[in-house]
Amino acid sequence: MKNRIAALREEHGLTQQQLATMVETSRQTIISLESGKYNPSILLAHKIAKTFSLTIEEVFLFEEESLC
Amino acid sequence: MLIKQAKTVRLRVIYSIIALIIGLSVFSIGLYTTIHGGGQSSQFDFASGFLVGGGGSMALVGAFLLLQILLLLRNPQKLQQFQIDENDERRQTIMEKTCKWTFVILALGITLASLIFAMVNFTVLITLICCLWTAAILFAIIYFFMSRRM
Repeated sequence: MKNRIAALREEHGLTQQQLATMVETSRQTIISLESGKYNPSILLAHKIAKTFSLTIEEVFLFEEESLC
Repeated sequence: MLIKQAKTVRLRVIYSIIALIIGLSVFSIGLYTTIHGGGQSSQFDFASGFLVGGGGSMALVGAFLLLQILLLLRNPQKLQQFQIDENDERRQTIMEKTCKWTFVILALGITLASLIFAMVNFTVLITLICCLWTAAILFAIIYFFMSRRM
């Protein structure tokens, strides 16, 4: 699953640590999310989307293959 | 002060105290048997040494964890970071996957070892099979309870 976290974070002028604190997770998790190594839970995805005032679908790009 | 803290902090304090109490108890038993029953047999000496070493280590770990959390309670910023790290879902996922693979490799290793020891030593074979069955039964029980919770 791809995501736009890195782009959105830079757009909002946030550091990885600041975003991590805002969504109550570790900086390492943000790094893994941005590099696409880790898929978040629905709760964390919701928190991240809410931080950027977007919906989950606007932040996380679901691929047909991963949905099957 | 402790009651107001998050569940992770309270649990850490409780686990640390339990480890400290069990560790000190085992250490005391080991020390007592070393002083009062020394020289009975090499197996007895090994057992009392094991109790002293194991109990002492457990008590030290408990004391260290307790001290760590007590120091964190005095620093709200570090405490918040500790709570975030403890509840971090990626960390929990890593832990779950690590446990899963450890169990799989351990079960495969014991199975392989029991196949080898079937031809070498019957006592070791029975011990390994008991370990394997215990692990399998534990797995089934935990799986049953987990599936009822989710």
